[in-house]
Amino acid sequence: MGSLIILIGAGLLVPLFFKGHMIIAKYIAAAAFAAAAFNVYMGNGIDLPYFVLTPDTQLMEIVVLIVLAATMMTFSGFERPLIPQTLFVGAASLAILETNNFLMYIVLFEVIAIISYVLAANIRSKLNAEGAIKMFIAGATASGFILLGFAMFSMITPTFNYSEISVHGNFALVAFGIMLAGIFYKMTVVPMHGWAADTYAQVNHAAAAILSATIKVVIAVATFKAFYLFMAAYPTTTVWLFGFFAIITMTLGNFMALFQKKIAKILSFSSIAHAGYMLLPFAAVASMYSYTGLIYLGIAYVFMQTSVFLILNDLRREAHIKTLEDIKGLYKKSPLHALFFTIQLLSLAGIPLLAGFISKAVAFYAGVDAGLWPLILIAALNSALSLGYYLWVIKHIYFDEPVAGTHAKITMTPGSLVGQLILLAGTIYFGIFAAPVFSTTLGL
Amino acid sequence: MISSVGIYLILPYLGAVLAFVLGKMNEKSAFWIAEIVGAILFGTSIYLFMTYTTPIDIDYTWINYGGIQLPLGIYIDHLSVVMLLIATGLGFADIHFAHDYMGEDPDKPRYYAKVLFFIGGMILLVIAKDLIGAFAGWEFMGLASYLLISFWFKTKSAANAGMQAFLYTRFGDIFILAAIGLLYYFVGNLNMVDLNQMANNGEIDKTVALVTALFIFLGAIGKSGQFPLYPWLMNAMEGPTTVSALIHGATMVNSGIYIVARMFDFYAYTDALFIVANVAALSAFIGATSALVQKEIKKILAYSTMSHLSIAFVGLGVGSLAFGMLHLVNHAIFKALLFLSAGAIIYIAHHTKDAWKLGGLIKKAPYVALFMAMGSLSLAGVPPFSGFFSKDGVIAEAILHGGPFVSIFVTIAGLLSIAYITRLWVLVFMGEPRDEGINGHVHSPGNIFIRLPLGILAFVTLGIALYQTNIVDYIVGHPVEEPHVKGLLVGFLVGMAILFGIVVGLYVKGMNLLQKISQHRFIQIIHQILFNGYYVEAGITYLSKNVIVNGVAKSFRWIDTNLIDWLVNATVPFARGIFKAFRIGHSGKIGDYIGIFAIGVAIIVVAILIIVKGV
Repeated sequence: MGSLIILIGAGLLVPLFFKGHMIIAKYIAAAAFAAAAFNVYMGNGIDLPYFVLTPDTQLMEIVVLIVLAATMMTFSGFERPLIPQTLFVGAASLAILETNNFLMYIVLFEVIAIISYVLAANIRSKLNAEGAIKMFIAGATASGFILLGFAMFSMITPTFNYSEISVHGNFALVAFGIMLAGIFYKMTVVPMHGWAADTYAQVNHAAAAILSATIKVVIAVATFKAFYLFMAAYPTTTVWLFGFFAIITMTLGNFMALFQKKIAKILSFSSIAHAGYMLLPFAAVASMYSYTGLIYLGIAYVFMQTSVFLILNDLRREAHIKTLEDIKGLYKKSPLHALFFTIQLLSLAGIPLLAGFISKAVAFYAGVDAGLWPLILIAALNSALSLGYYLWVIKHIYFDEPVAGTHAKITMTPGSLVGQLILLAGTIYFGIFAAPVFSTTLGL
Repeated sequence: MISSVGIYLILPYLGAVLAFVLGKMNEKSAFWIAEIVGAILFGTSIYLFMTYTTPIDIDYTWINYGGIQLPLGIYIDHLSVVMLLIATGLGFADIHFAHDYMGEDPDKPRYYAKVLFFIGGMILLVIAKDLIGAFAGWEFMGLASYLLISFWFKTKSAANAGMQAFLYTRFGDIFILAAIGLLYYFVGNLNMVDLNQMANNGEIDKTVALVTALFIFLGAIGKSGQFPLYPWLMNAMEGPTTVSALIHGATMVNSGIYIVARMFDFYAYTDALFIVANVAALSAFIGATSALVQKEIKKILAYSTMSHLSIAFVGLGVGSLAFGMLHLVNHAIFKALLFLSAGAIIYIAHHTKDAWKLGGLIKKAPYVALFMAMGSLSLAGVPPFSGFFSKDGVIAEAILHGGPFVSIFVTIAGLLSIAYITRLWVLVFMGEPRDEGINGHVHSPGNIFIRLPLGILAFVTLGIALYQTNIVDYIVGHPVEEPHVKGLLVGFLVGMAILFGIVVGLYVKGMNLLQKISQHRFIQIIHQILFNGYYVEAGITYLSKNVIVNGVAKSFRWIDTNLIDWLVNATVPFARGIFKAFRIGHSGKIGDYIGIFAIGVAIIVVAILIIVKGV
């Protein structure tokens, strides 16, 4: 309970400091995340019925809390309304990661959905409003599907415990299918992704960082645990279903990212493509490394994606940088931003010695281990394709001259620097040391 | 003791970052950070040396999944401790010396950061238990060496020298990587301690062992400047003299010898030691003869480095780990002394490197002359300086076990070192100044940052001679029998001393006479061959230019521009086509998105039913 109390308590407390003491609110929130992370590290879970803290969830929770703390450090006055929501996201993430009960899972899923709407609704322009509304409408539709599927499922299952749910019969199959559709919305799997491509690019980038990284990863990991019995009961279906969606998601995401002009759009579609990679371990559930692969992908992705969106947030706030045209010659304007951005993009592209590489390697290995080498071949080709747009951005940063009339210098705030350093440390640490992930996740 | 491992692994890199970042704010702080870090590292090494009881052995697995296990352990035994003392001790002295030598350079933070990074790489190499960690340290040093040789990268020659060093050493490193792959595949063990053990028990296939041993030796050839990969070492003298002293005289170039010594049982198990001894003997001869005719102070020292590293290699090659390593230790110290003395000369003579332009400096810098003389005596192998004992030991071992080729060449190299180092010393310090313009401006060196480190090193060179047997016993771990050729030993003792006297006399009296002799046409041809290092560099350049660049690379380039580029360019319209097709679904209208969403739901449900029920 300790972590939940800290996070929710801090979330209720921080609005007191909004008038003129934004910085205090920010540091209270960051401290709350750090305290919660320490509490989790000491092995204190939520400790209620239906919640279990296992080593793998412990690792994932610590990573999520550290990333959110780093996110918090980069906030400025613009992101003030996001602070309590981020704290609530942290609390809900802990709960959904620890639960072992399907009812809890559905409830917490909706909780996170509602927090996401509020996160996105930090509206300062028409564009923000459009993004928030799109997400809300798509989310409402998805909620409808999830509840429909869950209602059907609850009619036939004797218990909601993950390990004892009933997954047999046509009724259960249809129920799981409909629920999956709703969950795919949150994971931005094609064809439920339409909202994401627009929303991520239109809402405040700091909110997009939390939406596209932390929330997506948490949902993916929690869903893997919730659906594990279903996936294990229908191995062929699992492979076909998740394999198919993995391929179309990553292919569409990568191709759509190739010719975008707005950087936020590139990152949105790259995020969609990464949802495709995250479906690979679902398809490869027969391999003992599938869960490890998912956790590793999640850990790596949450560091990288948060970082790139937060850098973009800085750049948009300080210098109105939005398109590839604007980012030309960034290394002359702000070498620090350019450096962080480049390393995280290279990690997203899967360059060795960065987390993005090992995570993909492990996930791909799980696929090969499960005998899905055609699928992995397509994923590897996709990964190569993605270099096309990541390097394109880097080329604009380093090899093009700045456009005349734009900001000559962009400063990085100390908070931003600290946050980015934490995220970079995560990307590099998990790019070199694989042991922590393997030792906690093998043998689900 | 374990905590010292942490210091070794973190402090140099931390210090490098600090020296760079803080140095940018306040230039002076870079030196002091480097000095403090260097002192702590050296202190740690001494502490480790004092408290050493049993080898520190830490196992760590870096990657472990599927069938792949890559270890990354730490192992510190007597050999490592000796290497650590050399690396950190000479590193500390070198950093201290650089205060004055690099005093006028505007890029001090960059310099100290690179030097600390180098020391970190050297430490990693000597404390690594597995070939992976050792290789990482090896490459760190290679990178640091490249960065430091081309430290003054705005001069073309320095930039080229850095590139050349990188390419030459990388050529050898590829073989180390290949050896790691072979060992992993055939033996399944990259742990150097285990490999020695397995070799002792005869558990490794002989062919595999021979091939890997030779591959690793090829890397050592590149790193330690042996024939034929030595030209980079001579051009590396373009870097700051402090860098030459630390990296290309005293520490990094020893790593080739270290790696062979570390895997000595493995080498002894195969017949690779025979090849080691022969290549090294040839290199010793080439280095010693070429050193005789060089003009630049640093090039003379560079060739002598090559020659003396070869002597240490010969020691290993003829089966004497003890004397090979002993020579490495002695050489590291007196060569650091010589290089730093050369640095002092170059510093006081306003960056004049040509020995022929100097002369008569003994009046201006008597202490430097004295200290350099002590280093020279040690290098020449004149008793009772340390160099005598190890060189003599190696030569004796070579005569006993090495066969005629090795023993003759290494003896010649050993004797020639008397001649070339005396020539250098006499040219610089004796006689009359040859270039008044330079001589007039010579200023005297400072006390704390120039004379003190030189004095200490000179003192150590002399003092260490008393502890030669202790060092040998320490490295090997048990008392070693000296080669029992007493007559030979006494002969050498007397011979070296007499020869030294003769050579000194010749050079002092007859420098001009020698010059007259060398005007002869035949001598001129030999002079040219020696001066250009037997044209090995030209040969390698010719080969790589005509075969690799004009042959292989150009044909690949044709394929690349005509075939592959066409294919790649064709992918752009293709990808754009797919992009346009996909974009139809992204109208930006939420109604369309929901519609597609609903289609997705239908697909999932129908697909699940079809697959499960086969409807």
